[in-house]
This record gives sequence, C-alpha cells and structure tokens, in this order.
Amino acid sequence: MNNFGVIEIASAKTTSAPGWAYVPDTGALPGANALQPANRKRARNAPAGVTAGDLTARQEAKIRKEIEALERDGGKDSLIPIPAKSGKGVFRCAAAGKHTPNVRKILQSQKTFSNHLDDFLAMQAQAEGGPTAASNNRPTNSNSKRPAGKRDASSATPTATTKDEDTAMIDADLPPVLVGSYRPPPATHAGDNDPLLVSRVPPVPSDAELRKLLAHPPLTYYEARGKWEDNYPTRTFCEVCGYWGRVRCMKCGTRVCALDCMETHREECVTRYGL
Amino acid sequence: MAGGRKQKAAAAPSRPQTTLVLDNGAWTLKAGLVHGGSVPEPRVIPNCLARDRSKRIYVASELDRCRDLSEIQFRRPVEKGYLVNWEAQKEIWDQELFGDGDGKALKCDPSETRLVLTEQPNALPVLQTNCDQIVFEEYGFSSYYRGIGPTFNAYHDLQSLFRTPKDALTAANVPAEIMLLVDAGFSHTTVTPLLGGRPLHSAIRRIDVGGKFLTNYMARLISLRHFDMRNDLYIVNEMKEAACYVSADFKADLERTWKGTRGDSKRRDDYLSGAGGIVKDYVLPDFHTRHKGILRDYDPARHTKAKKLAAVGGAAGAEEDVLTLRNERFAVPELIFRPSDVGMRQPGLADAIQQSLHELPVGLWPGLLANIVVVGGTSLFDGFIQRLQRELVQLVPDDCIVRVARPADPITNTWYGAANMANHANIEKVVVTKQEYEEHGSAWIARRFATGLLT
Repeated sequence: MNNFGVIEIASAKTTSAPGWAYVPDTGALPGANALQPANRKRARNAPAGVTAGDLTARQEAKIRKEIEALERDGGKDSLIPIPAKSGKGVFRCAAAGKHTPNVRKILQSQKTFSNHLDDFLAMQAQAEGGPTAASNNRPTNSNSKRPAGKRDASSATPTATTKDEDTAMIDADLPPVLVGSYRPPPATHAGDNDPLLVSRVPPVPSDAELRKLLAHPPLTYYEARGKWEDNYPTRTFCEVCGYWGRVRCMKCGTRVCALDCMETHREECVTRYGL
Repeated sequence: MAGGRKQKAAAAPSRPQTTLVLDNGAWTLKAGLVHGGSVPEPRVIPNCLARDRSKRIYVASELDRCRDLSEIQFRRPVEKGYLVNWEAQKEIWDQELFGDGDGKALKCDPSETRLVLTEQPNALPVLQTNCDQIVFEEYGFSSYYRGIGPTFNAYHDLQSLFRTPKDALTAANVPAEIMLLVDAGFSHTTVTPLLGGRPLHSAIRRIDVGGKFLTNYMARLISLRHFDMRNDLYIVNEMKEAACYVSADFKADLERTWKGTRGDSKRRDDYLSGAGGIVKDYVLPDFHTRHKGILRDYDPARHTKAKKLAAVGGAAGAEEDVLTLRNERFAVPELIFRPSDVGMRQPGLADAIQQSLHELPVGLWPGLLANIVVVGGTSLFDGFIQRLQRELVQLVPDDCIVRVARPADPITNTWYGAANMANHANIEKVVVTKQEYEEHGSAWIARRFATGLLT
C-alpha cells in the first residue's frame, strides 16, 4: 500500500489530538500494523514502545482488567453497614458524643485507599513543583516510569532533614551498629594467603555508612514497589486448562495448548466476537 | 485537644504496667495484653465485618457463629495492608479489645495501657496521622508506639530458628543484629532488611501479590474450569489453604498434570491416575452435613461411578460436590514467584529480594542472606521456603550462604516479636505519651515514629 510517506500518528502521547504528520519513510517498518492501526481506539490503547512484544491493545486491556479484578477484595460494591448498637455498647455510646473534631472527620470519611493514594500523589507533585506531573506520574499497573534515583535527592521532606541532623550531631559516642563476632577469629593457617584459598568476603560497611543507611527516610508507596525488569521472556499459559500456551487463537489472540482446548475456546470466542 | 480528659491523663501513672500489643492485619488482627514480663497467647480475630446470605451481619469474632458461609461477603477496614476505614475498625476494636463484646474480649482500659501497634512499611502519611489521632483522641491510650510490622520480628531468638550451634556468648542477642524479613501477608509481600531491629528504608521492597490476590486467582481458574465460585471467596480461600503448594519443579509438575493432545486415544496415564499425588479431589462444604471442605486423593474409579450415577439417577449422584484440582494446586502460589504469569509487571519474590540487596552495600549481603525469615499466612504453603532458597541461591554470589527459615507459627510471629519488644528496654525509648501528643501534636509524633529506634 502506497501511503505517500504520510503515516497516521499512533503513539500513546497524542491522545488529545490525533492527527497527521509528515515523517520520514524509512522503508519497511517492523510494526507497520502498530503504526497504522485500523481504528483510532486501538491506536489510543496501543502500548507505548515495542516492549510489550506481541500483545495487542485488546489483550493489554484485557490483562489490565483481569489484574484489577484480582486485586479487588470481594464484594466492594455492596457496602456492609455497621450494625446498629443494641444495648451492649452502652459504655461506648455514652462516649460517642465526645468525639473531637479530628476523630469525627476520620470516622465519617468514606475514602478508600486509592483515594488517599491519589491525594498523596497530587500533594507530592505539588511539592515537587510541576503541576502537570500529577497526572502523568501515577504509574499504572504497567511499569513505574519514575526514575528510581530521582527520589533520593528530592525527598528532602522535613523528616529527612531533621533526622540527618540528629545523626550528625550525636555521632561521636554511639555504640557500633554491628557488634561483630563475639568469638575470637580462628587461628591463622599457613595456607591463608594462598591465592586459591584466599577469601573474598567484602568488607562490612563502616559505622558512618550504616548510620546513613538507617537514617534514610521511608520510601513512598510506589517507590517501594519492586521494579519490573524485562530480563526473561514471560511465560504464557493455556487459558482453558493452564498448560503452556503454545497456540494462539487467530481471532482474539488468546493462548491455548492444543486442539481440545482450542475447540472449547472457540465456542466462547464466537459468542463474544462473532464468526 | 479535649480539655476534659487532661486531668485523667495526668493522674495516670507515668509508666503503664500493661501493654496492649496489636498486630492489625488485613485478614486477622492479633491482640493480647502483656503484663510486665509475661507473654500470653494472642487472640487471633478475623478483622472484618461479614454478611451472610440471609443478610445477617457478623462483627469480627462473631464469624465463628456463622453456620452458612456460602456467598458470605466481607468488609475489611484494612485495605492493601493499611488501616483505612476507621468506622469499621473502631467497631471491631470496641467489641474485641475494649470489652463491649462477650467473655472473650480483652477488656482493656486504654487510659492505663501502653499500645504497641504494627503497620505495614511505606504507609501514606495521611493514614498514619489518622491512626495517631484516633489512638490518642478517641481512645486516650496512656502511651503508644506505632512501628513497622516486620521490624518486630527481630525480637526473637533468631539463631535457634536456624539451628545455629551457639555458645554462651552469642546466646542472648535481642534484637537480632542483622536479618532479612519477608512478610507474605494477605494484601502484599514485603521484603525488609533489618539491622538491630531497625529497617533499612531505602531497601524495602514490595510485590503486590498476597493471599487475596491468590484467592481471587484461584476463584477465577475454578470459575473457568468448573463452576462459578467468584462469590464464594471464603470457601475458595479454605480450598487454597488446604490444597495449594509451591512446586519445586514447575515445568515437570505442569507436564504431569496435562491431559495430552486430542487423538492421544489412551490419554496420558498420569492425567488419569492422578499424576503421582498431584491431583486431588476437594469435596465442597454444603453447610448442612459438612461445614468444612475435605481434601482427598484423586480416585478415578469414583469419578466414573459418579458419572454413571448422574446419568442414571440425576440428582441421586449429586450428594456431594467434588472439584478435581490439577495444576491449580501449584499454579496459584506460583504467582508469588512469577507475577508475570498473569501479565502483572512486577518481579517475583526472589527478584524483589535481589533488588532490595542491590540498594545496600555488598558487605551486608552475607549477613542478610544467611538470616532470611519468612512470616505471614501466605508463607504457609508447602515448599515455600525451599523454593525461595533455591531461587535465591541461583541469583546471589556463590560465596554467600543462603538460609531461609519460617518460624513455627508465621502468622503470630510478628505479634510475639512485638510482645517481646514491649518487655524489652527499647520500648521506653520509642513510645510517645499522651502528654507529649497533646503538647507537640500529630506531626511531631509522625516524625518521632519515622525515626524509630535511631538512638
């Protein structure tokens, strides 16, 4: 298909106004299908970059939805009310009138964890200066895009500074962090310096170093999450029986193991996506 | 602050004798009163409000009274490991800790008690402040320490756990000098390196896979392959606890439980005969004659008989609902070690431990790797520590000895550690009294607790 060098932009960054742009036509593109998607919705949902390998936008969305479902806790939609106090709680009921304003606010708050987390991220973004950072910085289930090292310098919250002062001031006469062995080291042996036998145990860090580590301020919720490293290929499984997913459905990309499971899957596939 | 309470607090003795130790988990809360020196057994209470099919509501330990647990729904005050909903939590605490409930409640008087409360690492500051305010302004505890749950595990005799030969000199060494704690709980799994009972914050790592995630995943697999159990998470959880194990050789186990390709007319012997013990039958509870599910060996003969009965007599054969569990048994806990199996972009547990180590100087690695302790209910799967040890050995330098241990009861281990700490001299260094709170306010407290045991 000759498109005269005009290619519709389909990167994730142009969500606000997808349009047209002239780009250099560098011959056969590996992901021509990804660059020129059939519809705009798919372009919008396409994963940024080529890291996601062979996942289409539809599969990506499906996985995201599934993981969200897995992280949910039972029937969140039907809130169970606090049972009405019936006689036995007289002592507490009498005290109930005396809530301080703070306590009343906290007790009445119906915020969930994700509400609190959003608030926190917004505040953090504000503190760091960039108001735009708030929306982009929130890592979704796909990887955290925040550079890991960035925080260490910028985390100059009051906590950090006060603690650093603390350690700096009273550093002089503190007991050592690590006491070391209570037992005397084993007697020296003639072969200790033999290059084949010499032990390469790294030296234990100095006390000052350890104190600095201990004084490190707590990381934030997202910083503490394990970073995804794309070292190994992900394993795929048959969605019907759980064996290795060796074959892919041509219609929807679902993985199955063999013909038996393929047939089971096809019934569902046809009802969902049509023939 | 409330003016009327001030005299009362001033009248209370400056150093309370009793300590309420409270490990407020998402699935269960562990609570007990510690009087000078003695450590009683903690109460383990489900930390939830529950509603059964007939719309009756059970609060926390009342759940024991519930006869029909099918389609039971839960509301938990602790979300993702952090205490979020105080309305519900207060209801549960009031009933279980402060004597509103029946005989088993702790009947603790806050004004004469010190509170030691655990929290998960990397909590949001707002939630911590909320917690401090409730503790002092609503309950009025005499003094209070809020510490990161994993750190309390250092207050155990670690070396007897590893069966290290000891001499008199190293005997009493509490808190443990150096250890790496893995807490596999209901909401997530965290990795915390500890030096002398203090966390190394920069190296704390978390994977968002916990017991809840696994239960949901198992419910999904069963719903796809057998029948819909997405509303019966309580039953699925029991099934998970009874049947699941961490596979030592995932590939081989998966191979053995495969049914084979079509046309493989004789099918695979392993698949039909039960794959050498992997395949199990789980008899679901019906809550009339059977209140707990039963796990039993797979018996192919019984299945053909049941099939015939069902064909002939219809309902006659359906006296018990049996689920045959095959690769679900090990594919579910596998997610802790490979979250990417469901497309989750997070590292496995061994990788997370390695990431944590890479934040620290190499000189600490030998000490941390030789003292890895796994706690939390999710670590109760068979083969968990063996698998973790094997994966770690493959990742870390050869010279490091890797030792992974699990205490006798990983669920209450944090609580016992906290109780030991309450009897330890360290506690006086870290607690905050009510007077101090009223004087300095909650921001000061938050800073104090963040510093922890930093002498």
